Amino acid sequence: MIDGNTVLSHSEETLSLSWQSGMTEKQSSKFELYEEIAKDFSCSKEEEIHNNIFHTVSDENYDDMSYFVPGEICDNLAHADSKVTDLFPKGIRISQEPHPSFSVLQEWEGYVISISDTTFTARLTDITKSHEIEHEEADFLLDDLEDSDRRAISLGTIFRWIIGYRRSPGGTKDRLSRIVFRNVPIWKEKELNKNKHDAIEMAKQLNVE
Amino acid sequence: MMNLSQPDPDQIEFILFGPGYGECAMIHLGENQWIIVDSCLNKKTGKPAALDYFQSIGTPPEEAVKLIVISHWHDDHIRGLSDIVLSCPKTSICCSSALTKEDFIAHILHYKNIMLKNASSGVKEITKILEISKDRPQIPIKRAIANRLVLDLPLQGTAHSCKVTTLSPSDKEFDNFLKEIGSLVPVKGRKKTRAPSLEPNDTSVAIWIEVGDVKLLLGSDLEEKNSPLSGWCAIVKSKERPEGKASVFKIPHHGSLTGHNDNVWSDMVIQSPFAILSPFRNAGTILPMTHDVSRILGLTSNSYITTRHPAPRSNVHRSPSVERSIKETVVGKIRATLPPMGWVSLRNGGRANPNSWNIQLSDSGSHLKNFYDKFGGHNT
Repeated sequence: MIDGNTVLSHSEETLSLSWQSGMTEKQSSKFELYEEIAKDFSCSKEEEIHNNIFHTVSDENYDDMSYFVPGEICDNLAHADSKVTDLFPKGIRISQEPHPSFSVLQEWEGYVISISDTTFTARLTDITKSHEIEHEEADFLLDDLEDSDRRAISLGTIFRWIIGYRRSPGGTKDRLSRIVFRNVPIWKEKELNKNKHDAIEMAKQLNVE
Repeated sequence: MMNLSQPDPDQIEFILFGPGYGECAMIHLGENQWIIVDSCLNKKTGKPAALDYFQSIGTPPEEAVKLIVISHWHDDHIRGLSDIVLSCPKTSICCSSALTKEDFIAHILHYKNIMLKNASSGVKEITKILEISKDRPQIPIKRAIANRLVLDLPLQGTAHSCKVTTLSPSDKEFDNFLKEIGSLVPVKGRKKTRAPSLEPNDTSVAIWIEVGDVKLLLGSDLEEKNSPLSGWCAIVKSKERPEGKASVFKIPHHGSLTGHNDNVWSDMVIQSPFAILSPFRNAGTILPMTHDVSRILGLTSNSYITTRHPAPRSNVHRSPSVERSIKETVVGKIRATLPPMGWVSLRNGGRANPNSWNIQLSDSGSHLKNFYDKFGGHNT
């Protein structure tokens, strides 16, 4: 049996590790994420884990987020003291095997503003410093992208650029710099129709002379 | 930052701020009455330049601002405008009516939440502005169309009479804009991206302002289309536009050739007017280009730009580990997207000397001839 404190002390690290360890940058959808976590927890009760882990992430934020940044999940968990015992059903055994870890030193959100034959230019908002405007801009090599990202890149494509240290279970340490194209959601008919409906309503309510 | 005092009650002032993901023009009509056109963010304070200016001259905006004009809705003209609108609860907004149509509103709702929630963007600004307006039905939005008088203030005390006339968009531009918006409707099943740019800007609102006997022409981002039905051609040829010639000209589209029309210079502005502009930078493109600078200086030597600095290298300090990784990843160096925001202020001699102008510049502002001093002929 696991008590709440044990769960908390493992959950931050494990979630963080699970997000990065063994996962490619592509595996960023919520279902792939909790499947990985469930494996780490050696538990087949995926639905229970899903319901318990993600209830701390508000639905409003959740639906807009196509992937999770480890820090955000860790923050949610770290602050959800009163919900610790609710996070995981009792009886789940947490794997004690060592995992690689990744600590983020610097993170930007960027969007592509131009593409040439060999490079692309992006504007960058510094997430680490909680900036709200794009203070910086840089050129990147297209060759540094994953093949699938290189094929998919277009003006307006959004990505995260993350710099940090990866530590292997054996203790080796690498400094990594990764451009992670957001696995952004696709446009859904329901959402498009809702926006059209809301637009009609808003247009009616505007007083234009 | 802005070491300017409040203008005299009978003084007319035109002040242009930029860049700052946008530009912002403010016109003092006398007696602390103002018009604001567009908005930009002061990079240092993170606040709209207009609100910073009001604060520095000790003017509360809520009673002072008589009209807010959205001359262009996209990123480079309206960052921070929603904060200005919120600060002026009794002030009318004027914009192209295309921005109030359901097709356009659907467009901005589609793209509203693509980026980080706390990051500003033109789409978010215009969405907020429309939401604020929806909640203030007693303050109508004034439609900007060709040759429409949108503000008419009588002479009052030391305040001058003031007429503001929108010169665009034309019917054709209105239709073109909605067609283009229609072509950008997201397709079900495709991945989301940031809101695409719309070029040319068919909702650009060029404005003619008469304050007493002084006339000002604000060119927004209106571009020349070589069509009698749109762009500057349509405006110059219009028999319904206000008469007279402007002594102050806010150069359209950051001085680019696409915003130039010879007939505007011959028919709508005096010889050697005061020409003011702010630069623009996007990826490798900088406006005005060197040939634009030469062209404008050939038309008037009274040309000023809000900032002469190129976007410098980013001065954000980070740990050596991060700096090392940046060096390994980035081609060249990380640049600051924006140079420091600057301003150019023109104040006249009041009723006694309405045509005598005093120019003041921010530290980074300069005469246009000095704009490329640091570039050394870049971007020819």
